Amino acid sequence: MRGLSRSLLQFVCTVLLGALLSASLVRFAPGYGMTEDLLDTRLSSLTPIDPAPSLSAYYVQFLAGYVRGDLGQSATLGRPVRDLVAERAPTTLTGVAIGLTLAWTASSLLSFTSLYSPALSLSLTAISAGILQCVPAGIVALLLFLLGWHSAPGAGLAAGILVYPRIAQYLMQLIAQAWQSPHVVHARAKGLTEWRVFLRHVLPVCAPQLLSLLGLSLILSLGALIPVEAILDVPGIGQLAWQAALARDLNLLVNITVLITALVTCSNLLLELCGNALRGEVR
Amino acid sequence: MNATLLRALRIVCAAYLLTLAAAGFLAPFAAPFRYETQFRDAIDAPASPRHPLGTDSLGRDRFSRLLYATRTSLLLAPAAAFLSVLLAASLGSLAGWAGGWLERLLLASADLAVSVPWLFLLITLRAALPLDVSPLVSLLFTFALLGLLGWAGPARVVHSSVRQILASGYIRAAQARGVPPFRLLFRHTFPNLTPVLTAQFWTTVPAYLLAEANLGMLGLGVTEPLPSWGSLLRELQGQAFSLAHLTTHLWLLAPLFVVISVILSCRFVWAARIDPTKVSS
Repeated sequence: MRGLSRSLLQFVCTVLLGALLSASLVRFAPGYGMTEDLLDTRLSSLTPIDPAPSLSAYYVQFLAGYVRGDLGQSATLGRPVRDLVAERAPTTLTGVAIGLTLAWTASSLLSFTSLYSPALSLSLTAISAGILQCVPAGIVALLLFLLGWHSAPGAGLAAGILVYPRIAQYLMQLIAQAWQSPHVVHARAKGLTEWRVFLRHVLPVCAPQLLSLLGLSLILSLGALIPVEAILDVPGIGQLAWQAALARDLNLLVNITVLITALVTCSNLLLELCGNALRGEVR
Repeated sequence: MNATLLRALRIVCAAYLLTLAAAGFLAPFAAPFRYETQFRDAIDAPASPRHPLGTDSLGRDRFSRLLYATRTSLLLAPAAAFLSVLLAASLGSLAGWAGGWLERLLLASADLAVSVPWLFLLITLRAALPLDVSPLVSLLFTFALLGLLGWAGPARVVHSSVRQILASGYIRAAQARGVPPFRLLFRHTFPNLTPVLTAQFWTTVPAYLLAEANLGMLGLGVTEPLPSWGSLLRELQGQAFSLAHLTTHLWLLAPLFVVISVILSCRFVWAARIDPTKVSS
């Protein structure tokens, strides 16, 4: 219970701090509060100039907007940020889901191979992950674009290719370590089959770390989707963030970043709780 | 893999990196032209003895630009990695050393920094940069951002290493002998952190090279006319009409080859010092 309240407090602090940083960034950005009228001397003499609010006042406005579900207006697209995010979130979430499924499936298959041939499995992981880790995300996206995969599943495939190396390497390391632990050696010495040892003695021990890895892979795949969606021209949140960055639409950009951070923190919190429950069960 | 073969490969990779770094640093002398020199009679020219990698859409020599870009990326990615590791060493050591609320605060900050998909944060901060800054400022800002945002992961590693060192027998013995805290920190703790910090530095450099390449491909990296690997890869985006076009214009892939080979070499020389096949079941 104490752990849960601490995690919730951490989540709330993260969101509040993230919102404060974002509000500061928007408030002090070059050109904040400037309109075309102000730049034209004829018009600016006619239009009364509203003084920009202080940071604290702006932050209160910002938070009040959050509470009401109002994330402000996109300066370049002229639409509410909430609508833009809601419109594009399903595409991005589909990409993330496809990417994570592909990456985890490939990594799990390799780790299952380690039951029969550990050296081959480790070498395969080291080579495939080592090479894929050296390729920029944009290049993977460009290659898929040339192959005609410019769609949400294509973005998912690219995210999977980009997230796979981290998952595969960590998963293999984790399983290799668990495989060497005394209780597993004892179980194997007793003559249990490899699969039984793996499912009953290796997986339960690794489960909490696997959940942490799932959280990490979510962060990685969301980050990877910015260049991927931008290059594949997939209308997701990554592409929206890129367009906002190019157009210096800071209100849109910081709101996307805060929402993504809140999503990641929330999912990490849930995974941590599941991990703690599993740890208790293993003990 | 055979240990001798591994060592030989490592030497080859290190030699390759050194050669490339030397070529990059000597770019003003080694490059046939300046990176911004335009040849208006040779726009988008194919590879030729005069322009070994052809020219870009503005008629600039690609080979010269690649050499200058190598200088930019190979100088600034390690500088950014150094900044990250310096921050991580300071904050991680402070957290491990001080304990209590300061440790909790610093670790919570590290957790927060790790939980933000950093490309989102990076493009947000990069977009806040005014439009009228010079290319050099944009270059320094981009790499400084990379350095400042990448402290959290290494800081956690440094923190756990400091805790381990502080719990070790020789530190207890030194404490028992009345060694002052600062001497304990600077004479007995920091020297033992060197391998951890070196490993963090050499794993961070490829990550920053990749981050710069991605930012450049998105048009949010170093601004024109200064070349970087990212901006050269962005050019590939405009030239890659089809796979068939690329196979007949292989010189367009030169920046990609350099980026991948450098990152692979960095990883091979520094990160893959442990032979994975030796981890047996």
